Amino acid sequence: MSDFAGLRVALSSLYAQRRGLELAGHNVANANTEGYSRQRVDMVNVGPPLVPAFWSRWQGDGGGVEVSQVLRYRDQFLEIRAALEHGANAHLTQSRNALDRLEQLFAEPGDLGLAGQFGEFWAGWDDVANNPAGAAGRIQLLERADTLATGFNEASNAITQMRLDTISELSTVVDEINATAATVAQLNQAIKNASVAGLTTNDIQDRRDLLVGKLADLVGVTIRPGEYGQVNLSIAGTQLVSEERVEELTLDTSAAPVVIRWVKDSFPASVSSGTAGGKLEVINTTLPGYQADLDAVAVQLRADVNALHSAISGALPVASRDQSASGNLQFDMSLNGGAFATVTVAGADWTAAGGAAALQASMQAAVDAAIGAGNATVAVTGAAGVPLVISITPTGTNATRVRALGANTGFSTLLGGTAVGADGIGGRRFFEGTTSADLHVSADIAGNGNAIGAGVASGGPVDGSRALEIAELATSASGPDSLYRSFIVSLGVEAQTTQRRQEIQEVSMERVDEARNGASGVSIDEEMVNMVQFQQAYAAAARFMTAIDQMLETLIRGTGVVGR
Amino acid sequence: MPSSEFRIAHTSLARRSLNNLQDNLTRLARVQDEVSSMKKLRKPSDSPVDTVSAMRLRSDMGRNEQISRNLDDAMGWLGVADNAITSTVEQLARVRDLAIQARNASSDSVARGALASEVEKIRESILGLANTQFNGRAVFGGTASTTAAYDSSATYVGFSSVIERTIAPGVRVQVNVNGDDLFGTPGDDLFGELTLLANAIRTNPADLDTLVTDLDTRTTTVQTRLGEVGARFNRVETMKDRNSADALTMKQNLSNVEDTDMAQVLMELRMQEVAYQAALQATARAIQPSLIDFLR
Repeated sequence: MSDFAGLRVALSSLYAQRRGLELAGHNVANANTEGYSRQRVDMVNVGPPLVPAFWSRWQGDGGGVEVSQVLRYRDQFLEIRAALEHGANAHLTQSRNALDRLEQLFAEPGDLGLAGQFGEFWAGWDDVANNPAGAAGRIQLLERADTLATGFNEASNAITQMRLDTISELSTVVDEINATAATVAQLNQAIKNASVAGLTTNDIQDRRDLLVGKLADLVGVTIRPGEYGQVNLSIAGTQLVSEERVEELTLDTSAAPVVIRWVKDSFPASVSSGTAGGKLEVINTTLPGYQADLDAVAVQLRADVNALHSAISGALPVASRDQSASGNLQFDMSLNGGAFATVTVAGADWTAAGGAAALQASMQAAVDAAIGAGNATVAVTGAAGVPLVISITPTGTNATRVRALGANTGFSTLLGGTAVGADGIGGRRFFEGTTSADLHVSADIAGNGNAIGAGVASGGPVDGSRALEIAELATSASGPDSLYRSFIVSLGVEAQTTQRRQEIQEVSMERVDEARNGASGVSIDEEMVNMVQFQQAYAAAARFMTAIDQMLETLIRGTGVVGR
Repeated sequence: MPSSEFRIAHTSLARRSLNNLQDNLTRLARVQDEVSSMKKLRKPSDSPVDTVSAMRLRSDMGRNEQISRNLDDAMGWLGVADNAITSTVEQLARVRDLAIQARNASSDSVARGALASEVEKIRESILGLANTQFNGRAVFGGTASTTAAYDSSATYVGFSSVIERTIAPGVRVQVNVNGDDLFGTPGDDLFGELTLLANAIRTNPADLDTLVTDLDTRTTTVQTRLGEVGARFNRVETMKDRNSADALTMKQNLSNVEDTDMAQVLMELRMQEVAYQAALQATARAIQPSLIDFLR
């Protein structure tokens, strides 16, 4: 064993302690760096050579210390969990924001929402019922109907616009995912190269992990550690980043539902987490769902009002089923806004059980003769001893109008329940449109207050009984008001639930983040202790070196001077 | 915030403090918002159950307001009809007196002529009452478009029909009396009878007995109608009172559902302020010291 071995031991310690001290400084320097993981030197003691020899044997003890590696404090399992929690939180945040915007859009409860406009609309019918002859009430009603329909259109358009905005946001998100994933793959390559060359890759790994965290927020990736400190990322089991290779995503908006696809094979990527997953759900489920619900309210409004306003119907009381003395029962009818033609039904005795069928046959023939076959269907029901119920229904998209023919009582006798305007014409639809986006006051009515069917054919010139019935739809348990209320409530319930779920998710996400920070974050106290520790050890190593030095001096200068 | 069993880094401490402060501030902002807007229910998710109540109450209040207008209108119709019929009944009593007078007194033709012309005057007056209008409509004319129920020759030109008003959700009341119901069907009506009576007084007092009996029957009918109109008027009046009371109750209920309970919220505001200040102080103390302060 060499006499100078002690010096080497001292030197190894000086090197190692200095590196430890420097690393403590590095940790303190990065105490506030985002994504930084604290590092520590891993020291190992160097033992004596263990190779047996024939003649010579190592007689010394330890050979000092060396730095085996620089450790990076990061818990892989926490990272994997954090990616899941962040993805889930980003998803819920998107849903929450969308529902929040929908709530703002409908402005309920309040005076400015659709519910208020509904109230005004029904009240308008009451005003017309109170004064059917007044033009002001009719014009006011048309204005209110228009406001209500426009309210539906605007709400629907706003939802459509929200969906389009979300799609363009999602397209940016997909670009960002691609760019970030590409950078992660590049960093993976750099890490692999450095690792193979035996270099420390801790700091570059931190930078990459920061980007992986961003991807977790964007798309909820699953992390799987790879070789040489690389990471592999996947979305629902398909590789997004595999070592230095990356797969691109693309947004396909060509059809509904909107899907995110893999560029390489155009297969849909099952994105269900992260900002992208949240936006997809908003685009494909949340917004279309509420739009469909709103459509259902609009359709209910149209159907309920039209059922009372445009139905061509009547009832013959039992006592009047014998019309044999009436001669010809006549009324005028027109198809799709064309000229009026006369429908002539010869009065007969319809008292017997077969009366309904007989009237139906003769009336159908008369209607066909007036407006052409196949354009409207006549239905008459009623056994013997009950009133005959008569209705004429236009087929398909046809619109029919009816009115009295001069002084002939045919119209009020056969079709007395038909709502007629102040001009005596009945059968006009009030609302038209099949969705909330195109609901509108029918062109037959718009701008023509006298076309509003406030009364019925048998009710006299200034009858308001039908307006009264329509006004009472306001309190109908199955009417549009009530449907709209349940629509708002289901929106409220979903918004509330999502809000709570997101709050809970945020707490669990923060908890994981805290645990991660606990493992990786820099503690100033700890670094101070480390510094003191390494500094002291450095001083001790220096002292040790002095001791060896003095020992050697004794050997060199103090020996061989016997008798001098 | 969950208490942590993890190693605590200085950054975690700072971040957790910041999170807690943020939570405190959010709560404070929410309470302040509630105080300044005076509303505790601002969007459906604040409380879906209260939202249903609020929307229902709002629509009921709108309906109530409209029904209040309907009630005013109904009271107008029935009030006008009531006055006209009451007046008619009074005048019919006078006609009866005149007829009795003409029958009993061995009056001369001049005196009877005077009695007869008074009956004719009364007939004119009742015809005027029969054409009483409300809001431009003849109250006894049904749904006819004319403004009179009877023309100058006392022929009924109305269109007999039931005119109704909604006076409570789902409750309607008839507000009109049809002329033919009140004064009799054409050919068998009060005006014909009065003409006959006047002629009888003037020329043929012997017929008066039968005619007075007819008049009595007619008067009974008119009085029955008066009773009906009166009953309906009372009903509408009661409804009007209830409607006003309902409006008040609904307003109160809506306020309970939507509006801020000031005392409670101000108390909560104070509590949140205290909590926020305490959190600030605790944070200021917790994040300051480290080992550096104590090493030489």
